[in-house]
Amino acid sequence: MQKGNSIDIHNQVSTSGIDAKKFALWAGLASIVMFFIGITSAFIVKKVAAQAAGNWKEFAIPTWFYFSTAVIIVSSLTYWMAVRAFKVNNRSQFQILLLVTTILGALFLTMQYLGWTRLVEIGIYLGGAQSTASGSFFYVISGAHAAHILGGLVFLLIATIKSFIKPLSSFKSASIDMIGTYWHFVDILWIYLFILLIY
Amino acid sequence: MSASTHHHGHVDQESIYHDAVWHEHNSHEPANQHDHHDTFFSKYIFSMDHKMIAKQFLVSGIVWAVIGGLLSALFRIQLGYPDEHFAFLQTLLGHWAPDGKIDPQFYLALVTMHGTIMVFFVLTGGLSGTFSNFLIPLQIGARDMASPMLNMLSYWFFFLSSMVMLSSFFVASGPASAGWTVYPPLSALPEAVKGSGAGQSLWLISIAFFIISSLLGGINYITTILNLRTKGMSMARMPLTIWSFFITAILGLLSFPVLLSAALLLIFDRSIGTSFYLNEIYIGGRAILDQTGGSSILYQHLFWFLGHPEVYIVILPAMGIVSEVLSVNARKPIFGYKAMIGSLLAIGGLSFIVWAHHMFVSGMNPFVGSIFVVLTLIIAVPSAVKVFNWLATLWRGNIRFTPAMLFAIGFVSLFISGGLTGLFLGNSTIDIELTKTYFVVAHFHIVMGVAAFFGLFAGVYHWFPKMFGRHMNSTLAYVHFFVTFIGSYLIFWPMHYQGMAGLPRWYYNHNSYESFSHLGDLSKFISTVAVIVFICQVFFIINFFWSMYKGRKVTEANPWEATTLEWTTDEILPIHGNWAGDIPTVYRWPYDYSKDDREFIPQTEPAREGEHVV
Repeated sequence: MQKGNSIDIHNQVSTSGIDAKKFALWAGLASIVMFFIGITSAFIVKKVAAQAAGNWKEFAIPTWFYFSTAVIIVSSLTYWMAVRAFKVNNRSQFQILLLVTTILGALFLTMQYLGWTRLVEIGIYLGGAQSTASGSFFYVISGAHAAHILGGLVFLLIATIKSFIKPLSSFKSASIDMIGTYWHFVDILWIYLFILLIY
Repeated sequence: MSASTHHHGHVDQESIYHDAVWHEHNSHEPANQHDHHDTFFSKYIFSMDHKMIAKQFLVSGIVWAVIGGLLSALFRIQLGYPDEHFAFLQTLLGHWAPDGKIDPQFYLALVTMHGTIMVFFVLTGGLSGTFSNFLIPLQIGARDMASPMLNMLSYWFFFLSSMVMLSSFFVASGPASAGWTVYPPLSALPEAVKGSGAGQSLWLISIAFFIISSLLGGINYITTILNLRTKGMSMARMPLTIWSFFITAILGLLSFPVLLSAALLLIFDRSIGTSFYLNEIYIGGRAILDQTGGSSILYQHLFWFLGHPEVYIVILPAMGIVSEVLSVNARKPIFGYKAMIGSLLAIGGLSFIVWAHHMFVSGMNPFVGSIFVVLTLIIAVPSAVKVFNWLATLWRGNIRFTPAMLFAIGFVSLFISGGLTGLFLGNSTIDIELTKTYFVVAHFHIVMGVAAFFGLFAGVYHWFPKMFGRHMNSTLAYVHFFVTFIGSYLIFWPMHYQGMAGLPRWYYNHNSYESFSHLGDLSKFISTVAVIVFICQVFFIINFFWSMYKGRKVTEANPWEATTLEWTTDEILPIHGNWAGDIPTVYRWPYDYSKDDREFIPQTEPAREGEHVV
């Protein structure tokens, strides 16, 4: 064994018993949490100060955002069912549930977009002379979250396509778990953000 | 290679498990022996080997340090000789130095970019990027990082970030000029300072890439340390270098995202017309904003929530390197190993709850300020523990004055000197007098700027033989040390007096006001020394690159007679995968120096009959 060609660099055995890549995902989620803690603490501080000064502009949250919230919760549920189908080797159910989850994810983003256009219609702008802090924060927070959904959607889409063209055995159980961890995370994240925004 | 090498000493259930798993994964040759040719690109450019990535960070860091240092030499020329004209400045800077005198707006850009480059690109990317990458897998006994791919991406985001930042020097309105902290409204309005135009946009884009790089790196460091330690390498047997990189990575993981949120809101304020940070602003008697209602203090809170942990992100790796180098070269165990870990954890934890001490004059409630005073001063306790332990490690040691050791001792000296002035500034009552003066400049340059550089130098001189298989030249290194060490004190010590005399930071010309004109000679002295110290770094640069190819070859596997795993690789320049055979097993802590009449006992040596090992 001179050259080390057979040394497997990419699949080192975890000595802690925890899958290293799963752990890395959790560490990554911690950093996303800190990002949103930063931005929402700014929102809370600003809101409290502006309300005290009497210049915090309240506005009605478009109904689209309530629909999208329901959609993202259902998508978590369908993904959870997809994992169950995967565990019992039910390929067709796995395919369908993955597909449904992906479509629901895309639907969520569409509804967010429709919600934003509705906000513009009622005169709530992101920037410019007529914009207010309450509106700007709403766009930035929901927009930053949408970017994270988009990231998850890419992986969901890849998994869905793969499920139709490759056998179940080509999936690593850890990858399925990791997509789930991320997807449930951005779901719960949205629930937190949405409660904060409508409160 | 077989499982037989694992059968040292006692066999417990866990080791049987490991034997089985390791055997399966790490010794399935020759079935898996595919021919693998390294091309120039896969070996040097898009390398996934943590050692090569470390070298990429190191060389990039050196290039950035030269640029960052050059900028400081340029603005020190302005500060030392404010009334003179230098033809070479015009040659070098063109229209930024008409008639050989630096343009005031460009002076601000120089100061801003000096801070940005040194803090982020040299002392975060260059220091943590180099040594976390190089030492984590080698010292904990792993073949590489948990994700070599993310590790490579971490470097390339750093590189992209570097290129964007560098390009900002070439835009017509100049690079960012609002200070490395880029406080709005100054940083948001090109009407206020030219650099807040395109230069500031590039700054923000660059920092966003830098944050991504830093997060990818940090996630990898933490995951690798927690999950890929070799058998026997418990957390309580890790070298202090690894502990410091570990805590540094956690700080980065939790604080850099907050900077990203601050930067994001600033980007929106600058380009979309939101008003998170901006409120009724008049420049030249004219209101220049349509939107109102923002708070610039909000930015300061978000910024310093990163900014303060960031100074520990800079200094903790240096502390780890220094602890290791001191112990190896004093031929003594590090004094108070557990106290060293405890103090690292305490400093790391406290770093998140002291940020507002950067904002005592922002109009905060004095009661809130007093809470931050107390929390800040508590940091003196773990810091003092560390200093005490370093001094106790040196005490009656059999000291080998290698270049690395000199820089490590220099670090301790600087950390004491700079740390003491931290007690002044941590008190809001004194800080209100001294803030925005050269006293602050002196304080943070000594305690985190020069000190962290000394940690970096100590690390390079110490691990160069492992990185390149050659020794650096000691004579050049000694000259480099003494000029830099004495020079640093000569530069920054007088700044304390200037600061106590009230000399403000940022001013373009110290002679503009009668109150400070008597400090002009001192500024001239500081500038002269600063230029000499900057030029003296040539001794390091030449030594580094010359030794890489022409230095004395390393012949013994363990030139410093150290105990840690990086010196146990089969070849002096380890292959990708680090150990050609099995990864060594660890049986003891890394600080068994001068024990039982032995000079040193490597971590890989099993405990003898009746020997007590940590």
